[in-house]
Amino acid sequence: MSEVIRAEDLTKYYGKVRGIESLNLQVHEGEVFGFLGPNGAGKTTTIRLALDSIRPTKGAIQVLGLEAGRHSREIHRRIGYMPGELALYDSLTGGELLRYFGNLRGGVDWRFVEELAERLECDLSRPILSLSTGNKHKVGLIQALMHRPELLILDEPTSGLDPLMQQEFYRLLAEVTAEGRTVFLSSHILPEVERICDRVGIIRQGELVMVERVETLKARALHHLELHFATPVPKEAFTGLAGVRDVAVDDSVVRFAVTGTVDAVIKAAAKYEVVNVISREPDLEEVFLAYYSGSENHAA
Amino acid sequence: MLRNVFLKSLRDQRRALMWWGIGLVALTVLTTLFYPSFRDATGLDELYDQMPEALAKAFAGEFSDFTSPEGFLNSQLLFFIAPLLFLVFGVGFGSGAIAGEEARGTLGLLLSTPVARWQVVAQKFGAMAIVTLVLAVFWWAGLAIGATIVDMELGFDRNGRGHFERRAAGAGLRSVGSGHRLRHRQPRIEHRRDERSRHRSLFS
Repeated sequence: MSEVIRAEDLTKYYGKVRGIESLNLQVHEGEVFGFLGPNGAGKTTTIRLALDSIRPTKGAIQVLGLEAGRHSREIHRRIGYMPGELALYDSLTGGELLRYFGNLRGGVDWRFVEELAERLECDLSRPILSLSTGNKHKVGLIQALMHRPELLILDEPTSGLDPLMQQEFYRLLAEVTAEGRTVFLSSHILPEVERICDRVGIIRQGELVMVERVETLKARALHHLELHFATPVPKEAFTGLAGVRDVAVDDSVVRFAVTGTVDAVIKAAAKYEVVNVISREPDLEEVFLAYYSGSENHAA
Repeated sequence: MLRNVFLKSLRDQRRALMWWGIGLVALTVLTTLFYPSFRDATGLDELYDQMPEALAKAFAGEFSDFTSPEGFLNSQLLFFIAPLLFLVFGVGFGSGAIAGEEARGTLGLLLSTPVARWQVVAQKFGAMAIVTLVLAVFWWAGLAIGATIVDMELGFDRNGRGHFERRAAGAGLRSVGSGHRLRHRQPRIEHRRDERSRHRSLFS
């Protein structure tokens, strides 16, 4: 499996402000790699370095086996890019914009553009000025996909898409990887990454803190559960169960956090009459902390 | 018009070009229409002759009168307003071409295509040169229309130089940035003033 992106000791400082710090990363051919991190962690900086929009302070990044600084035109020809803060030419219609970018890329298969527009329910005849954020996003996505690039670089691709369109977008990504092409996307939404990625890298304050397969991450995922019972339940029913911590009982409502599978909890709860189950997705920081406390437990 | 960066930049200027064209034609035609009332105001020339030379140059450059067709157009349009307007247009276009894309956030996407950065700059510069030339044509056409209406006798080849044509067409290019024009014509200014004083001494 060849490496589509390879970053070595990649460091970028904006003056004294840290962008990313000594990042080492490999993205393999045919996978969907999720780059996960809170805002300002350095996701976009990494992407801009890959595109040679900015140059690294130290280290190097190779894209499709080519040095980013030296072969940027060849790299640009073979990738599709969608920026996070998407801005398009307001004076053009969606179709005109795609024609323009298609021409800059030396021509694209227009039937494929129309097929993409149809699948994403994107009206190409409307001026971009009149489009909603979500619809602009669709134009941006088509722009990234239309020349069937070997590598897709998508910065926060699903923000602004409604759930139905997200499903269609996931299907499009699956088709891309089925053809052996690669997707590198950034996100700050864990469930989304879990849903579409094969591997995930978590970046935090400019440093890549871990790279894991999604299954591994899921096995250590943290869930906040809130169980509502018909009658008050004893706290002891839940304390001491595998992976459960922070148990709090408030009359007939029990709240706690579970790491990994919730099987034991559900079986314990089944002894009582359950009225409602509320599960809250953890935020990234919690996943991160849970992941590390998890590894400590394993070590212990 | 969406084939490349050059044509796209021209396309983006369609509306600006139209309004600037209308404005320039209106300005030149209206100004030339005032010429008949200047033609006989010989007092202006006397005023000019009394001016210190530096001040006179500031008003009229190399020309030595306000009432001949050339002197009138020179002082009213070509000496000051034309370079200024073309400069304003050039600066607006030039800064909008790259900085505008950057400010609107479209530059990142444009540079992610296989078009090289120098190509983007070169093509946008080319578009600017073409649009400025087109504006110069508008300007010239406005002058020609106005001159025809008020029946100006323009010495297209006065002293074999054709100031009018050259200045009108040159005004566009000048905005792209050269100050050497004034420098290399300086000697002629002296020459013309001398000529004029000779005439006067003949008549007095």
